Amino acid sequence: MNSTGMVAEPVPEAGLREQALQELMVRYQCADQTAAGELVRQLSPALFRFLAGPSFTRGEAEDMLQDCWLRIHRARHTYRPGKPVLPWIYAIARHTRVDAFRRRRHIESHELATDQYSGLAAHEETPSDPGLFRLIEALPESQRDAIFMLKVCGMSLEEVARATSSTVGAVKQRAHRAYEKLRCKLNQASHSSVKK
Amino acid sequence: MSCKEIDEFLDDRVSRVETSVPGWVAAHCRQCARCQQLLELLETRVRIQPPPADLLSRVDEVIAGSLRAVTPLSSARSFVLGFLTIVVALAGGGIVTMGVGATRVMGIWQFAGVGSILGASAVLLAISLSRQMAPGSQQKVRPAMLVFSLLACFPLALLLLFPWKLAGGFVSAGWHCASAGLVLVVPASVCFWFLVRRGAILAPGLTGATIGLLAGLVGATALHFGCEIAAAPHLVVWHAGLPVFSALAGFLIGRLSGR
Repeated sequence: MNSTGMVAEPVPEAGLREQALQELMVRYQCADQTAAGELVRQLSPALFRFLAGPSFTRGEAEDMLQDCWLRIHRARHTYRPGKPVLPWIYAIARHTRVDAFRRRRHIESHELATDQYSGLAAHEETPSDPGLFRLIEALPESQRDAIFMLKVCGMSLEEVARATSSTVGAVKQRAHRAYEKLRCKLNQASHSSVKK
Repeated sequence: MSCKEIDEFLDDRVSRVETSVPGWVAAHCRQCARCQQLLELLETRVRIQPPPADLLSRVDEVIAGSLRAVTPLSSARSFVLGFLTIVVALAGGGIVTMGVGATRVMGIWQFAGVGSILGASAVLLAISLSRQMAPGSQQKVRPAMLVFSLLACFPLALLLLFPWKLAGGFVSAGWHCASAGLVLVVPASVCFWFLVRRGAILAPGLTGATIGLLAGLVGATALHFGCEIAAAPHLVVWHAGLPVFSALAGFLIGRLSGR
């Protein structure tokens, strides 16, 4: 138990989970509806966490999740049996999010704001949540993706490298820069709370 | 122990599985408040309400409605061979058409140097394209960096290997080369695209640029054999300019078609 009172819940051994996902993907490619449903059920919470953020409303996050699954469905033939599933899934999810950002930027550049819109954020910051999400979201995109996939989604360096079409060395560099930025922000936050 | 070593430790740590930290990490954190705070931050869970059940039901219905068996994509190696076969076939056809006049005016180092760069570039781009088609593929070199590097390397090599001398009829001779090269670039692009579309094109702009660059190199290869002007200005502008132009065109077409 850490100082915030949170207990890290044990999750299935990463290797076994990956093996199960690979088997489900192969059955999905063979048009097994049960396997497809099981993949949607197992992966949607993690995908929703990945797609959601303070800059998106809950409705937008849900739309992105639906869009992401449609892309996964259309691209299911590109998964090669025996290869890791999570990098394949997150590569598609990452581009779904990038495209959503671009679409929204394109729409906002053509629209006039008539009133202040504050949709419900997709995530909730509970009292026991010290703003991890907010701190990660403040990082540059490449560092944010690396930290999110490594620490929130629990992927390995190699899996993140594959999902971001990058190299392990580049992912490590981004992660280390992100750790340093997070240290600085946490230090600033604790100093400002002491002053108060 | 330093904060850098904590960074290395964090690289390998799957936070939600391992609940205890090694002694040396705990000792460092007792002395370094910044690392202590960082570890506590990364250990906490992000609370996000899961997606609603009716959304997942809708996704299930859409998938079930169009669910049929699919054949997984062939191996990356087969696509690399496919791309290189197109390169060899079209470049070869161009060489047969344009002739091999360049071998009379170029030195062996000039001919071999440029030829090696063209060959190596084609292989690297073919590998990159085959990996761009399958999401989550391992990339030894980032595709965007590869495209930019090759776009820079080719003209640089021409500048280094060939003398700087302006020949008469710079524009007329150059336009003749460019148009001859374009005759190969267009069918090459179409052939590559037909192969690439079998996969999943996640970044249309980047994939378009890669296709354009590879097609441009097909034209540049034929020109390398057939053009009898061995002067750096002509080669940099009209031969190396061909892949630059086709990469840019591919990027724009990809971005517009991806909208």
